[in-house]
Amino acid sequence: MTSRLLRFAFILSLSTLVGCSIATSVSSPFESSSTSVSSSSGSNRSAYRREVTDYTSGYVRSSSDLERFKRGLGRIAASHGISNWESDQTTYLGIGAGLRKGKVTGAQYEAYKEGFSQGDHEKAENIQRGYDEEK
Amino acid sequence: MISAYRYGAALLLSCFLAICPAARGAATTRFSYLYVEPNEGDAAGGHAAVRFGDEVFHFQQEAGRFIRLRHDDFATFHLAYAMLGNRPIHETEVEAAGDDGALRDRFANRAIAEDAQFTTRDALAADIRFTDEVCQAAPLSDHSTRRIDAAGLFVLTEPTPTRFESTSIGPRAAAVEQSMRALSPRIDTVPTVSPYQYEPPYRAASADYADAAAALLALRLLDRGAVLNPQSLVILKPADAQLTFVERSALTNAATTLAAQIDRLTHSETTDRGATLLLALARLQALRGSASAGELLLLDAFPDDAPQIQVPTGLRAEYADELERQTAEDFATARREFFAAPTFAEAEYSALETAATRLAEAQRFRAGAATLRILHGLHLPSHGAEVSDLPLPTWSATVCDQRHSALIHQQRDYASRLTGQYGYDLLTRNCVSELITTLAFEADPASHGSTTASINDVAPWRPASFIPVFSTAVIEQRFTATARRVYPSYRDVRIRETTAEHPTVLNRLREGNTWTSTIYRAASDDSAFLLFASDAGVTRPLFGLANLTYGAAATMVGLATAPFDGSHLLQRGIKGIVFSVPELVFLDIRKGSSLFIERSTVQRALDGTR
Repeated sequence: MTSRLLRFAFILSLSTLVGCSIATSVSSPFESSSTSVSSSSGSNRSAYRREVTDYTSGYVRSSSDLERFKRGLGRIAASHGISNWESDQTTYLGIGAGLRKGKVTGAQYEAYKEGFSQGDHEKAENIQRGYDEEK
Repeated sequence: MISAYRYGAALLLSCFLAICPAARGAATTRFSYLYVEPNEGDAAGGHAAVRFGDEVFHFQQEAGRFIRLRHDDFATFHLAYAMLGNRPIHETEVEAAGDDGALRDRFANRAIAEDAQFTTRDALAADIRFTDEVCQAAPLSDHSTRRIDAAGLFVLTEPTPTRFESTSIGPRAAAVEQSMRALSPRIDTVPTVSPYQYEPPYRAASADYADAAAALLALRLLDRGAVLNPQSLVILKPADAQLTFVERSALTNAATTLAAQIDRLTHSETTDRGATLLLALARLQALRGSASAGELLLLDAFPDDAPQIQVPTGLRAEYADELERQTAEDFATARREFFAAPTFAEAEYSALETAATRLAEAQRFRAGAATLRILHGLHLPSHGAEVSDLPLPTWSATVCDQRHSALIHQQRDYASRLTGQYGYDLLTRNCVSELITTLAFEADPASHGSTTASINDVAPWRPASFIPVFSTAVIEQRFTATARRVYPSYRDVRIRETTAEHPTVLNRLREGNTWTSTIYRAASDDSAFLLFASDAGVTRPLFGLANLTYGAAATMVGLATAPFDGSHLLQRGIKGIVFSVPELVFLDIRKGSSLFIERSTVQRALDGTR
């Protein structure tokens, strides 16, 4: 009986050795320690800009539907504590960088810039700045 | 024949990836491969990740047995795995061929592609529920009552006014109502299921309707005057809430800025601004209330379904003290950063709301609350409430039937395709295999981003390469390793420190067992064990035997106490036996977890990297 139990435990132990991490729901408030969850607004903003850049570059390669683009952008912004992303200039820096990364140029770029900024000079400037700053 | 083909393919691949970057005339890119040692619980096989600067990409098994890509910053990853998970992280820096950033972008693109596809899955399910709601209500009523996020931030008056007072808001509200009634039953297309091809997610009618419903509620509140629900506010201690003259002035200015944004949102033609408008209205009330009262009034950021935990009684006081200390620090930082901004900055305001919510919860817990709600990351206040008199679209019975059937078919088909592409498999599709195939993937324009490459195609010569502990060797075989370092676990750091401070046998004995250790703060689901076998070296099998006996004893006692403790001790005892067995053959898996950690240790751990 004991040897059977031991054999069972051994097989069970071996089978656990190859498994990867399983995502668990958040179980500790210490996971939000400020070393990780940025109480630092600068790191949150740069992470937001980077995500908008990635999203924009992925989006412009596959679609030109601005309404859908905005909906997806809203989800990214919310995860960075931004609900009114249209009023946040970091959004436009990220969009500009994403357009550059997505290899959008010429008339197509101008059309996107106009579509996103909707005549707002500051937004258009920040799209251009993000575009120029992206390597 | 097949193996020869695979060998040839592997050679070509290795040439492409690592050996021949100079010959190809390509630039090199650097990244790190992270191997995380195992521990009991959800991670007995170890874990693996790739790191680009401060970004980490790794695959985790998630609900529904899917393997999903996660994108974290390194500090979060280190905190979760090396500190709270008590698992050393081995980092190998490598060089690979390719444009600077191309590898990183491949992972980032995969993350957004996967996100769109799983969003589609959830949106299809939401649309089925919405279709049923509309179609079941249809014969009886063209209006409905539904829960709207952020509606609970306000005191809602009943019955709903039938006429709008404001001549400017009335027509806008009428247009929104009309859009809700006219909502099309058309079913949108779904994106291709592929980890390397982004397509926009399915656009759910239910999401359009929810946005419009939120907008309609916001317009009703604007018309009649919004009154903040006092229960939606964070209760801070008076000393924390007290505002200086400068801060009051800054909040008055912030209210002015937000009021202007609300005005623009009210007249915006964009359809998805409803929830934004609702939240802005609530925040405006809070800002004005703060400036007027001279004390900080902030919205509670906890979502309605925030997870709750209980803390073992023996550690409760120490836990609560540390949590309050950390949340108070975060609150002070967030407050400083918000007030340092030259104008109202929403991200900083959200950070302040979140920090205040966490601090208030820590204080409530320290004062004696039985449970502790958890809030991870930044959150927008979203306390929901039932809202009545919302216009419904009128779809005929035939349209309802067709839509319901089509959506069910679409949902099943999509779920099946997701399982085919992202279904977890212990041997062929796990955290290592997905990392390696993503590193190796090279887009074939004809494949539309799909790939059938598997770990066996990439590393056919290593049958155990899918196991995290062996995966570093695969990486080092394929790429040029330039540096190696180890991020020690929380226990390793603390043991090193206490040993330096008290280099005595007594200290080693005290910290070597779970009963007297001052470092070990057991999470409630840790297995029952007595000795830390990871410290044991050649005597590990003896430690394993002691732990096995201890686990068996706990199991026997657990059988007797099962009716009274919900089988908690029994489960810990059985886990204790299972994780003692590898120790009998020198394997080191169980390290014990850390229920909580001091913030200073995290920094010392990063500083003390070997």
